[in-house]
Amino acid sequence: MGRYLARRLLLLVPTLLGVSVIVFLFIRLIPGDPATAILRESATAAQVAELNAKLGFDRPLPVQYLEYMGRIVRGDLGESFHTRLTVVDQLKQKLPATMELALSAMIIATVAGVLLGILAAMRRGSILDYGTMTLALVGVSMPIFWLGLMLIYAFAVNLHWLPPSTRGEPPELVRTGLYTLDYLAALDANGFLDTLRHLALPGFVLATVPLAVIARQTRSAMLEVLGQDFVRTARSKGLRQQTVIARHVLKNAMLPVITVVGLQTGALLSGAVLTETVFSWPGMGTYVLEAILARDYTVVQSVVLVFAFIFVMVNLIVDLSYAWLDPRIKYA
Amino acid sequence: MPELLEVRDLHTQFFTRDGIVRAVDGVSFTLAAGETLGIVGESGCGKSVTALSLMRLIPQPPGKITQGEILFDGRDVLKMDDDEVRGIRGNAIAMIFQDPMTSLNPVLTISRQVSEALELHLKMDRNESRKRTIELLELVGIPSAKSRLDDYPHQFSGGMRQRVMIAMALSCNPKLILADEPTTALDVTIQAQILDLLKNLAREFRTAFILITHDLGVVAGMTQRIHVMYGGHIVEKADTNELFANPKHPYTWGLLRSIPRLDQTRREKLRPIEGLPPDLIAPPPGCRFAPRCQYKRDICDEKPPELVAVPNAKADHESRCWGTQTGGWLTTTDWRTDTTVFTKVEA
Ligand SMILES: Nc1ncnc2c1ncn2[C@@H]1O[C@H](COP(=O)(O)OP(=O)(O)O)[C@@H](O)[C@H]1O
Ligand SMILES: [Mg+2]
Repeated sequence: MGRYLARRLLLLVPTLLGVSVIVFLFIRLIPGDPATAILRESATAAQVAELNAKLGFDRPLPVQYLEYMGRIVRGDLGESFHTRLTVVDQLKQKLPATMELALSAMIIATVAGVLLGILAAMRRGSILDYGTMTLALVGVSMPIFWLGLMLIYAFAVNLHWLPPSTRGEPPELVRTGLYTLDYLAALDANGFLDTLRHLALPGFVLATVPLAVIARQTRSAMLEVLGQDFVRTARSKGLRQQTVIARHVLKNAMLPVITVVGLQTGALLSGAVLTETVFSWPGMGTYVLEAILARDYTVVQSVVLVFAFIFVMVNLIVDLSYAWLDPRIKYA
Repeated sequence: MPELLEVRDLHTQFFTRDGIVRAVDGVSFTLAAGETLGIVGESGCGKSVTALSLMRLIPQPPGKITQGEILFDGRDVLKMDDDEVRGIRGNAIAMIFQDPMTSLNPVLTISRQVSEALELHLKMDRNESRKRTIELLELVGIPSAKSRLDDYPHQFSGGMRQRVMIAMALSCNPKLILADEPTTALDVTIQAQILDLLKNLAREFRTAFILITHDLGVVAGMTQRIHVMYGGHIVEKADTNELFANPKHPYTWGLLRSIPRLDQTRREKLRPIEGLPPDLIAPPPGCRFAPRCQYKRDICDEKPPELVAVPNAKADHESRCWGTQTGGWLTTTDWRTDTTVFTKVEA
């Protein structure tokens, strides 16, 4: 187990190196450059060149890359040449915002997706089954951006049930940066509920795709396991259907579902960028989008690196959870 | 003696896209308490479906028991409500399945799986059921049973897993055990051990059992009676000794010829019956074995024979064959000395 973990963590190095090279090159492939972004179109070519030189963006690419990586290995994620704010400081605020949104979405998606998938499998061929699977199909193909705007229009603008944007008021004492937890720790029920109300729409919007995918995967995994011999054995002992499902089917069916939950958590990062933009959510998504628009190369590079790191860690956790669920798997 | 099990005119069908599969098509038999019965026939002739029907474990849809009665201890299993049937499953009737590799849940420990029925039917608590599980595992011959309680199925060999299945089946002292090809998936050497274990334990516990197999060689010496199944029907019923000494159905002859024997020359060994079992969606209109039978006459293709007492044989010996019935053309044929088949097969 320890060796396995060490090997996986070691693999992080080439992965992050690869990602860093790709982002470094791709962000420079986008037309435009930092100086133009700051000075706007009115600037002369000479002014632009001068500012880019001042910022160091005129040096050869390998030099720029090595210099950037030299700082990264020292734990310095750099700063925005635009605002002069360090990426580390910004992440301290924005990472918890995105985590809170992503976690809410994954909780909604996993709980609802697994439940719907189980129900659909149990009532295979029923209206409920077809209804759920049709909705799931709609869910995966729905543009997040459009869905977010529609929901804001319906529930915030028209019905005034839920706030249209932002995270709401921050708690007085920010400890974890997850407002729900901070309000809970402060025993502030109103603040907690207000945070939940702010989370509801973006959380649901971000949850739609993973919810749909998880529901479909759960259904097919359940159907697959229900057809296995050991389920017949369990029935032959006289167990109730509920017990057979809960004790014998679910744990087996959850193995493929966990893979999907993991993959979807990774995919959530891209959904988060869109969702945060629609809901003016002050997280990593809006942060990286603003940085891209400002051609803030350092910020983009560092934030994407952090995204990649999170993605790899999520996958590692998924792989480890297999060993916990399935006694046949041993990591060595 | 009152019968433990009485099956009357059982029909189980599967409603598939291609048509209605008449998997069990009018099967009747009885079993006394403590009695042992072998059900033998090629694969696909309705043995498993018969056993699953007894416990009402037919997957529905597509399956359905469409007709018949299954009297267990005098009560019709088919008329019970779901709670009553569950009360019998794993308790009064237990089943051992063919493939021990897939019949145990891979993610639950052995003790969890064995103790389940104990907790459910005998209302034992966790401690009692664990203790009883150890005893059961020792009973079926699992070495150092106590230390293996929390092992998972993949940590056991196939033979050991089948022992676990037997322990599970015995756990609530059932009156009847249904063993559906319990050794088919195992090595030959292990097969004999498992069969011995099953026979001895059933005798010790005075448990009736039905041993299902496609191999007549397996039931020899295992059960008191044998029913031969073909195409959803029982085609011959007899005492085990009587069946081997005096078989009265050409299908049974075919099964006997396909048992490997030590005294046969290599050339004569293993003579499988030519052709395939009938399509149970549209079975032959006459005798179901007729298309593969080298003794058949016109009547065999035209009219289905009934299961009737065999002339000049033991009282409960019955056969479903025009040729071996009273007045038939096969009543004196001895399958062992009949060389017509030999030449036919070797030609
Ligand atoms: N779930 C099912 N759906 C459709 N047909 C089935 C099903 N189970 C069994 N059958 C059919 O019933 C017939 C008898 O099967 P079975 O009892 O399993 O044979 P065996 O004698 O080998 O145990 C076969 O023709 C098989 O195809
Ligand atoms: Mg079978």
